[in-house]
Amino acid sequence: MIKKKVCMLGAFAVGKTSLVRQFVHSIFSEKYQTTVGVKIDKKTVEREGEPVDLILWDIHGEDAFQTVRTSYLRGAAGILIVVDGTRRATLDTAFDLRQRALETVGAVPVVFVFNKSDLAAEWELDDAAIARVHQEGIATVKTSAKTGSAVAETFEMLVQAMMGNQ
Amino acid sequence: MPDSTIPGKPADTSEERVPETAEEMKSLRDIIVGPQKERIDRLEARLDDPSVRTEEISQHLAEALVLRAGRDDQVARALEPTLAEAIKASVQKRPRVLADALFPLMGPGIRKAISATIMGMIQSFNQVLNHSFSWRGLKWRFEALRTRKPFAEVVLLHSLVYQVEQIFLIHNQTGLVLNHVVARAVDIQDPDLVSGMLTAIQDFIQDSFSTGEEAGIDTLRVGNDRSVWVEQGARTTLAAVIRGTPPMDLRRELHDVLYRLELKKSDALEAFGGDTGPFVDLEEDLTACLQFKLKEERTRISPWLWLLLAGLLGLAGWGGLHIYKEHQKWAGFVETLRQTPGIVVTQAQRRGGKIYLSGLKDPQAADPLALLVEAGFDPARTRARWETYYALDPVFVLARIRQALKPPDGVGLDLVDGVLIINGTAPHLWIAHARQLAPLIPGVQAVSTDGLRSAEAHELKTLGRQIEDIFIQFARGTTTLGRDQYPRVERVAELLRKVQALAVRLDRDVRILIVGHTDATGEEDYNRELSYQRAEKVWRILLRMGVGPRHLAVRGMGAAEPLHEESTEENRERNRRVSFRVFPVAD
Ligand SMILES: Nc1nc2c(ncn2[C@@H]2O[C@H](COP(=O)(O)OP(=O)(O)O)[C@@H](O)[C@H]2O)c(=O)[nH]1
Ligand SMILES: [Mg+2]
Repeated sequence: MIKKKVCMLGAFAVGKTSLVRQFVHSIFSEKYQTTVGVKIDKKTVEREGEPVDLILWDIHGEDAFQTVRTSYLRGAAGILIVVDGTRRATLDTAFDLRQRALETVGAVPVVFVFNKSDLAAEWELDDAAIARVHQEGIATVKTSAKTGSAVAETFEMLVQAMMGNQ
Repeated sequence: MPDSTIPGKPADTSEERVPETAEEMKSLRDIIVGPQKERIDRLEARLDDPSVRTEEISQHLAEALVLRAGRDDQVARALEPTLAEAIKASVQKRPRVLADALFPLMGPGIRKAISATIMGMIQSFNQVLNHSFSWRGLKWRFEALRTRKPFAEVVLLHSLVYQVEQIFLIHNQTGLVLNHVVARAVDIQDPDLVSGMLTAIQDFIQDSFSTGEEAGIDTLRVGNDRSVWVEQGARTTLAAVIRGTPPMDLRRELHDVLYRLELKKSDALEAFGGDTGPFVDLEEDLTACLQFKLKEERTRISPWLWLLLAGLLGLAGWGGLHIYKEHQKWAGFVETLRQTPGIVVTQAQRRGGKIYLSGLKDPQAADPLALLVEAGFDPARTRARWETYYALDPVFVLARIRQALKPPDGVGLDLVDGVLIINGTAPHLWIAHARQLAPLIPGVQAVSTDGLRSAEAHELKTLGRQIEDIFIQFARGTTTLGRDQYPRVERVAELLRKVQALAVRLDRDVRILIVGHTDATGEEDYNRELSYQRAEKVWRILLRMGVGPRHLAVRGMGAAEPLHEESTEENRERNRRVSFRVFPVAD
């Protein structure tokens, strides 16, 4: 069995927990997240006929006031950094977090997830902004945790990147 | 040629030629080796005199050993028996030296073992409490009497029934489960999730209370009779989910298993990248840890006998009862302390008539000494050491926030998922202060002040409305104020001065329009001019009354904004006025 630790990062209320909720099997209440600062969920995905267990670490409340504990990032094989398309500032946070994550865990695959695609009218980030992120060599994807659009594909994309990396 | 002998030696007289030869040899030797003679003499002395030789060897012994040890292990082999003997002798003679040298290595382990023992004792006292009023408790109390053992010990004996239900082998760095075994017939949760959470909690504790090498958990209590024992190795962690009270030996056993497994799989651990395949074959080793101990069979005794004996107990047991009550009192206090929110007890001990308490304490938590007094113990005989920590319990976070922010009346505080929501009305300065301070309070992750109004801004609005309700009336076709209008202007001036003072305090801009009006009779141009002059008149009076010129502006609206339809002369009179408009300019 192959298992991979995956970390969810991103500014406050970008939809990390919602994305995980769309996708996984949980046994812990989300209350843990506020008290311990993290919640662990699991999803088994398939790659080339082989099951891969993703152990998802959803980290609670990241913004200017709180710093991610580096111990939570330790041992991560892949990182999803979530951006709220309706709030431009969350992209800056994403870049900060990526920098910090890479300093902690080294060069692991990172995907920038532009969430809330269902709120297209309220988006502050246009396709050009996303393209610029892409040009920096960062994988990007547009999702909606609300409608479930592209959520499964996002995790598949990360698995692809993680396994290719081995 | 006179006879001669070699100095220091008796002359040889048996052979005539020898002296000659010796003489010749000597001179020959003197010629050839004269300069070296001194050296040769010294060499001889060195070979003959053991003390000189020892001195010599000592100068090169270390280098020689290093040289040889690099070549093969003969040195070690040769020295081993001697060294072993030496250490034995040394320990027998002066045990302290070795103990001092080893303590830094073993100290943490020993401390851990001691604290585990204390925890075990407290646990057994808990059980003493739990059982003291039950039928079973009575039975046990009798047994204590019969066997002359302390009651607590009897209870402890009965509690030594346990089962190791699950064993997790967890990769430290990733928190992933390498292998997991379960005893039959045990309900379990997804091991990957449990392991991840356990690792996260370990991390959390380590980050929160970082007390150095010893941080982390080694026992977690789950519910009434389950605990998780955590043994942490260099690369992996062994977590055992145990029901009941296992013997302390199990701890050592877990430690040994972990050590063995890490050694066995050291290459696979080094290379671990998520594939748990190489750890499948550890199942057998782990299953060996799924130990259990069954409850002992007990013979039944007739209830009558019990009654009789209970009566006896009543008579004979006073002394024991007193001691037991002391125990119970202490156990009760320790339990209360442990249950007290914001207090984490790491040590609670009675030794030599003194009480030793230590642990973590939130500044908002109840005073442990007060609890101690309440439980009937003497605080003067107590040594307590509490390190400060910040409990994340919302009640504590809120209390901490109250303490830090000292919210005035009219302000509501609420904590939802770590977000502090501040509602109500408060002085401007307090709001600024709260916005700065609140996010820094431990347990507060974000602050929402959307529902918070500044009291001054509110007052500003009220004053504005009061001013706007006042009209200054004028005599027809003039800029002369109507009868009794001065008190009104004075009232406006007073309100305006307040507005201006508030604006300064709030550092906010305010605009006050003084608007003149006329009635509808007369030419429009004329009316406009007249209305402007009326406004200007009021403006001038206001300035004279001490209103600052800043913020004030003057307008003439002519008859464009009548207050009333001019159906009567009275209404017309009302329209001849100056009115005010106050705009607080948002910051
Ligand atoms: N419309 C819309 N709302 C979303 C989406 N994802 C999350 N949200 C909302 O955004 C808020 C924050 O989401 P949450 O998952 O708690 O964010 P987190 O702080 O990153 O974990 C919640 O009110 C969600 O309902 C999305 O894709 N579309
Ligand atoms: Mg969340």
